[in-house]
Amino acid sequence: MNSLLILIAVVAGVAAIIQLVRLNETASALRKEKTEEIVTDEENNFMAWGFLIFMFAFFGFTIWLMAKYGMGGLGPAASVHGEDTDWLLKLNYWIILPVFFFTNALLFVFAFKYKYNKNRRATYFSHSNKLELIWTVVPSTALAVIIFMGLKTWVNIMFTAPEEGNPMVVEAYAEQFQWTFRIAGENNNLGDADYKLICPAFEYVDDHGDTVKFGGNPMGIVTKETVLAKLAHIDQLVATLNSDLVKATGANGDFFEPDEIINAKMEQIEILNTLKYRIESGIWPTVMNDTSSTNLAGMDDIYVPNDIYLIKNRPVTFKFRSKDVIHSAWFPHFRAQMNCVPGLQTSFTFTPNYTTKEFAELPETQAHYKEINEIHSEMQKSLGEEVENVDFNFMLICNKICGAGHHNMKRNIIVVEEGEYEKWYECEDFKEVTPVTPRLDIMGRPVVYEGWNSTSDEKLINHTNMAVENASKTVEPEMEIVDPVVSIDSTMNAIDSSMITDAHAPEQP
Amino acid sequence: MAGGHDHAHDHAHDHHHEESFITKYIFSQDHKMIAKQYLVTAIVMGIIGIGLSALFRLKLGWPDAQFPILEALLGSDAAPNGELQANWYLGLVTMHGTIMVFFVLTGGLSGTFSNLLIPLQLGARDMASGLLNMISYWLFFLSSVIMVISLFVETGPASAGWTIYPPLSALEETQPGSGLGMTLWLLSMTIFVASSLLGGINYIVTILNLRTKGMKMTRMPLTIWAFFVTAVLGLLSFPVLVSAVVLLLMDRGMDTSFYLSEITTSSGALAQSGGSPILYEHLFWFLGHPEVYIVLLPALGISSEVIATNSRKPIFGYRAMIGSILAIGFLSFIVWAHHMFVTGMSPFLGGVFTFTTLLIAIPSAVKVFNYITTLWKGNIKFTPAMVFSIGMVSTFITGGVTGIILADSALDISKHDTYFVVGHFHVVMGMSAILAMFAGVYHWFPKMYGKMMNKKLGYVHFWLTIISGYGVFIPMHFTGEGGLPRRYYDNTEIPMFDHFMDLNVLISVFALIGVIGQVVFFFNFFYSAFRGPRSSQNPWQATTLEWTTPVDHVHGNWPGALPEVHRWPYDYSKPGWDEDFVPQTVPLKPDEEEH
Ligand code: HEM
Ligand SMILES: [Cu+2]
Ligand SMILES: [Cu+2]
Repeated sequence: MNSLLILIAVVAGVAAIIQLVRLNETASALRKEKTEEIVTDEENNFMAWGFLIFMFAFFGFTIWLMAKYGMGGLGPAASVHGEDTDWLLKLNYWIILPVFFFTNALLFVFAFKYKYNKNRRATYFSHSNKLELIWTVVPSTALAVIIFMGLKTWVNIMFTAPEEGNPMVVEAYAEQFQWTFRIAGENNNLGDADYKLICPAFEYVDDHGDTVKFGGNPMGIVTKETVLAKLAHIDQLVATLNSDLVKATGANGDFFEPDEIINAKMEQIEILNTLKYRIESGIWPTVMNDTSSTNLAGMDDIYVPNDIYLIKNRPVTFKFRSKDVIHSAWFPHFRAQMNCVPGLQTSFTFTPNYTTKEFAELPETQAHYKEINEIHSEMQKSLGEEVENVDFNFMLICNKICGAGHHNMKRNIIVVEEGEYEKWYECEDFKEVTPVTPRLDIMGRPVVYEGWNSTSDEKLINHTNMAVENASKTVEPEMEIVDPVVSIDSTMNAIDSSMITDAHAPEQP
Repeated sequence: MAGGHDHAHDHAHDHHHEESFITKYIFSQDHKMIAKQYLVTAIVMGIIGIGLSALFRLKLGWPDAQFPILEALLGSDAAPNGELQANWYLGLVTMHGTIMVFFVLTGGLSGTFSNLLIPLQLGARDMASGLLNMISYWLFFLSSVIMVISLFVETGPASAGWTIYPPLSALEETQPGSGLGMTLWLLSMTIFVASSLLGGINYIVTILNLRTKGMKMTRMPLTIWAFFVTAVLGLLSFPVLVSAVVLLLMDRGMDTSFYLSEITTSSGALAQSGGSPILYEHLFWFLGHPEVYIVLLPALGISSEVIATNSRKPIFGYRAMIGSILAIGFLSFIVWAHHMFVTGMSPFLGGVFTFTTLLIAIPSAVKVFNYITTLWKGNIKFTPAMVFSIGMVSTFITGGVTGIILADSALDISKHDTYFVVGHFHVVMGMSAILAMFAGVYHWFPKMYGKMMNKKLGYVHFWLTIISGYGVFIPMHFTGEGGLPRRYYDNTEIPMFDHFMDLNVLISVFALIGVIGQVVFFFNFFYSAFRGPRSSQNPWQATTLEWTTPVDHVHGNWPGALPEVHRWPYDYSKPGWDEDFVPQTVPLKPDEEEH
């Protein structure tokens, strides 16, 4: 099929060029000839027939595409409101498609029928209030139907009361270029999150002299523990910077290192202190007390850096945040989409009404994936690769341009029955998580990641240490999901090393 | 109107002066020369813009293939071993969109035809201010140059999409294209807006003040009405884009936080907080939606003129046509948030914008039916301009009906940012507006260059354009229906879209055919400008004033007194007259009714 199309392209291209050259010759001949009529009868005839034939070709092409890919070519909807929007889409198509065919046909048929004839005169018909009234009122009526039905559906989707149907609450956190999830835990209440608390895994000694192994806080969740850890982390960074400065200071108070490095370090200390102040004054008071609602809400949240599980027929409220740029969470099968905007929490509620397994067994899905697998195996064979089958999965993909890895920002959504969900929730199924594709850097190349230490891959922020470690064991090393958070210290390293190399460069002959 | 007279005196002297090459061809203040300058600049930009799309279509059609031509053209950073890199893919898409929307369809379309036709069809010696007009062109030229230069910077051109939403466009560390490339983009657009504003003010003032005797507003050709409303839209909406751009520049360079809040990038947690990217989207689309009509209205105006002339029939429902232009112009200011249904904006507002957006379909439908009725019982001459105009009406229908689907917020949830949107707006902008622009070029080429373009090549160009256009954009509606997101560098990463592989090849094939079609046009244009046969004074036998001027341009347009207007511009095949057209300058017979 592919090669056939390429062939068509080449032939059409060559034909067009030949045509071009030939016409160019006739063109110069024409230039000499005196023209009486601006357009000859022959040309009028040719174009009139051209329009008629074009109309059939155009309609045929559209109908062929409709037959092959379907109207609303996504297949059946897998959510309750999705069935409504699909119905609405069909209704709209039944209104606009006749308009499309009828009006285009009128246009081309009139063009054909009223082609120029010397012996005829056009009818002087400059206006008719009656006609114009008709084609104001008829479209208005059709649009009234479309508007009414559309708004009704829209209201049903968007104006559900937050507690209706006891939705489970899931957060999807977008960043260049991956999704991570957080589930609200036992209390079904997502804790607060604050980007200032994003922190890598590290160790520190707390006020009581105990060594604390902190698992990292990639989503910036607010609890007493994460705040304390972040403050300790800032202190460590500041201490390192300060000792660097001390080391770089000579006896007479001069610095050994170039001014830029010294200034960058001082500036970093400044920034870190401001950050610390903002955390201490803005966040700390809300979690100081172990039993504060913020603390309790955040404590039991679970970080899921892999595919997320949902329950069939239980509404789910997705809350979206973004760490860096705008992304858009697009769930094609659920007909759900919402932008993820830095600085803003958005949300979308829907109810999945098929399990992944049920949906995969629908004839439409079977046909769709059969076709896909045929294409794949053909391609893989031609590339000499092993033939791998793709299985159906509901997906979450990114639908707002967000940089070089935009095309590769995806997660599977797995819908199961309640009982199975419990099993996953108890972390049985974490062992079988599918490895995530490598993340891309801002140049669109797979990340080779160093900044975040390997234990940070433990998918977990809080003590809710559920069996998550198992998961990281099963993930193949090169497929490892790399944690996004490049911490302040790695930036510092970057600044350091680049400046140092710069500074030393001139010294080399 | 009365002003026309003293004006005549000023200019009567003017054309005794010998003009130097520089004042005649380069820093010309003559509206006809400026129109040609706009057109040629737009054609050059068009060649670049279309060329870019061909390059990225190669990647989408044949994701695994290597194209040495890419490396040759873009360099080995952008396409090592002939494989286009993701950043550069986005850069090409962004530059393609920007160039086509702003430089070809805004600067090029309005710049060319408003400049050429406003004085000529109104019976004015020139624009109200020749100097402003000249400055406007040179600013346009400067901004084009800057935009093109940004393609050559090391980190690549702006690559955040033509809508350049922050934070992606604000933070260099999120993509290389948001560095110098983006700065140049912003600079270029600011200059561009200055150019449009100067042009727009000039058009409005000229239309309101310099109409010749008898040229009442209700006797103006529909082209002028369209240019008038277009200029007003531009004047009211472009300043908002400038504010958006200036705020973005400040966020980029001065640590302000209009659009930035709670962001962590590779350089750590940013201090900025409190801003909102949604603010940018509102500002952008407050321009952005009127902008699509800034592109479309001149196209509708041109088609009205060409269709009436070549059907040898009055345009049907002249007043309804004016009314619908005004209605579209007004409504286009209160629909912008239909681009933002899924940004988390209040669902109530979403409902309101669904309502206002769908209202636009009513005046649009009126226009379509009026065009079709104009053809009905006409006596149609298929000049190249006419066939392009018929194509324009067809694509306007097609793109209008898909707009209805998108306008429905409940449906837009699953259409937004998919290829369905890409299909929709290319059918209306990439086809309707472009086809009308071609129609305008073929129709007024004799007025601009005193020569005729080659008809046969025009027909070839038409068929290649419309076939490839529909061949590219109709299938996109289906990949969009299938959920395929736009601006994906590689559609094969997500297995559920793999059944569209063939369709993507088909689209790319048609795209390449389309490019070949445009080569025919470029050849025809430049060839005819130098070697085309000389045109007669009124080759299409049209009624409007521009065809009463001599074939060879004179400064001041009419060698003698300004023409006087006695009737509306659409007296084609009027009963009681032998000729099938009665020019606007011919007085009414004693018992003749106007229309
Ligand atoms: C009946 C008339 C029309 C309606 C109801 C309509 C409606 C819409 C809607 C709702 C969208 C947003 C889709 C989305 O992003 O999810 C849209 C996008 C767009 N429309 Fe239209 N439209 C109409 C005509 C036009 C015309 C005449 C033009 C241009 C000449 C145009 C150009 C565009 C462009 C450029 C976009 C996409 C911008 C982007 O996201 O990059 N539309 N249209
Ligand atoms: Cu994205
Ligand atoms: Cu719009």
